[in-house]
Amino acid sequence: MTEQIKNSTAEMSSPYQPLVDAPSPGGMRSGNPRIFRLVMVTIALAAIFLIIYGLATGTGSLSDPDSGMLLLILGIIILFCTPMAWVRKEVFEVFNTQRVGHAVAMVAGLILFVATYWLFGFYIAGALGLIVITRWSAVESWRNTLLVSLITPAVLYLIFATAFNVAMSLLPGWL
Amino acid sequence: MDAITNLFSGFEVAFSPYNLLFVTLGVLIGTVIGLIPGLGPVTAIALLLPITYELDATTAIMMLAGIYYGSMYGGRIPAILLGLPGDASAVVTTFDGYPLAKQGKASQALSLTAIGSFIGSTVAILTLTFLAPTMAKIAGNINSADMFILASLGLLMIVFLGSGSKAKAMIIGCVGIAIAAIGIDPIDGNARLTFGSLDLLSGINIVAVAVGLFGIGELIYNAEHGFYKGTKDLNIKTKMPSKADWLLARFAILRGSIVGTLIGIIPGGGGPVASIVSYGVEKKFSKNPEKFGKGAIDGLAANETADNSSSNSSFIPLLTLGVPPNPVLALIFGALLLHNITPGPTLINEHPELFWGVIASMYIGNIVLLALNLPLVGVFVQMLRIRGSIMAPIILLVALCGVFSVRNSLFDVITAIGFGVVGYILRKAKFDLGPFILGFILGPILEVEFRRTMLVSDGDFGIFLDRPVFLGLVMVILIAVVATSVNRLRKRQAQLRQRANNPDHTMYI
Repeated sequence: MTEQIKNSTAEMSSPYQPLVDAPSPGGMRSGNPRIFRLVMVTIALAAIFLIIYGLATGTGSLSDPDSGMLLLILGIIILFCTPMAWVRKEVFEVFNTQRVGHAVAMVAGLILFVATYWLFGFYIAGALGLIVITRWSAVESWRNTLLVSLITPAVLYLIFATAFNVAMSLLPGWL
Repeated sequence: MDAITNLFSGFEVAFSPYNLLFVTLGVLIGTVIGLIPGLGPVTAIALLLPITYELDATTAIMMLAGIYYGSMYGGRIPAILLGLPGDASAVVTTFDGYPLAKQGKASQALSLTAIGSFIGSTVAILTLTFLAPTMAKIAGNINSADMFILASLGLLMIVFLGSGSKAKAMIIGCVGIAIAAIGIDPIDGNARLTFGSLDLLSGINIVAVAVGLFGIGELIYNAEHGFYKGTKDLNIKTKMPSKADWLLARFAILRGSIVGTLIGIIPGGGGPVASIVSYGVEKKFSKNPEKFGKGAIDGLAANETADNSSSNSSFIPLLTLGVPPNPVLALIFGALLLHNITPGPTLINEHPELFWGVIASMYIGNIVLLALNLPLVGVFVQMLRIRGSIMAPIILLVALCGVFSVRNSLFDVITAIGFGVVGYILRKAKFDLGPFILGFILGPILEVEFRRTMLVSDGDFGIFLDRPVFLGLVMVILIAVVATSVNRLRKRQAQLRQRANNPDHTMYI
């Protein structure tokens, strides 16, 4: 049982995140993967930027701290912690192209929604985005895809525009 | 006696048909979202945060509180029936809940945990009722320096009590503060990190950040890992626990209530910690510890009770000190800010209808939950038939609609999507997102109170040393830091001892 608790707590990368995600599709690997290195480098660059921006904005003095003081302190803390986070040994999920493809399809559907919003308005753009997400990310049949994509925006229109009186026009912005 | 009089005035607020409707809706939606494998209380609150923008502050917080403890109730259903924990706190529920279900005792396990959750929650709400006003009274004369210390404590405890890398938690907390700094400086009115954008001038909207990180990001992550596939042939009929089960579980429920209530108050505590600790405590007290992990009814009762009582008691630091002890409460803090209400020591005097109304609504919500979870458990179970691949696209568009509705702004929708992608990438890089949202919420408070204190004291840090709150809290922080270090040292020593005893292992010192 103790082992059971140990395993479960070890799996809790965050105590507030759902754990139901299926075991990592391609298993786990030790060593820092490319995504981790990319994130850490981006964070380090952002920290350097915060320091420069903070100094440029003006840090003021201790008796009268200025706008840049907070950014400077944040930049220094992040930069100080980055090497400690880098050297910690952890296991990461192995990259699985097919599975990541489903995540990419969801993002693509969201981008399609944003791109077509001005042209078609919230609900039609939403329906288009849902087609991509339901078909290629959730991998549902065409029948289910069309049902979800058509019914969801219609119900949301009734809830938000009709019941909550939110100014979400059925028509595109240019009309 | 004041507390009881005020509580009755709170019931007057909570019993209005409008508030009753939203409390009931909150617990119902919370239960349904909680039982969907893959969606926990943070996601539930994040996704529904925009909808509460349309409501008045008291009703909004009553509903969000209902969603929170409703999702805690809901999370136990798939954990017991399918061995699928909806969130981290339900992991321990699977240890004994799922074996009990396999032994044909699913209905009894569900009923017992519903009753245990109700008792645990009631103990926590009673504590909240009688402790909160006293705490608020003590906290009534705190100043900027104290507020800065309290906010720092809230953030540091989350960092140090988190399960992952402390350095990563510190980094992500600072990133959250930096994102919150975008917009107009609250003290001198200068634009910061806006790069000339008018949209950024008003800052990044909390709703967009919350929905993005915890809603959209979670769904993208689930898309990669495969959605819940749905389960057929789940027919559960309500069956009350037997007398023997009840006798076995009654003291476990009592202990779970106390442990959960205490852990819920501590920043960084919350459901997952409460359920693990109470499970461990119960195993020590149990006459049959060997049954734990194989269907021990007392183990199940203890952890489920503690889980729910902690969700209710976590409102104590939020409502009295203005310190959200976990990310869910940070989002509720954000909801209050959206309504121009700052939680803290002044809340009880400035908004008594909200303070007491929310507490009263918790009593009502828990009774509604018990009523829903005992006779209607079979109906909720049917929700587990629905595939995640059908739910996810629907939830996604609801989330986008909600974000858009707050300010009718496509910029907010784009921000939410952006944070969704960032949240997904950060999870892939094994970053805990809890400190981010706490940093985002507490960042502006930290900055404003620090700068005010420095202005008042003319840059003298000695002002912090004059405050008894500071000395008390420094002690707490030191104990937390020392305890973490000692724990790590002991683990390391145990590992070394184990290696030393292993003849096949060569040690180089």
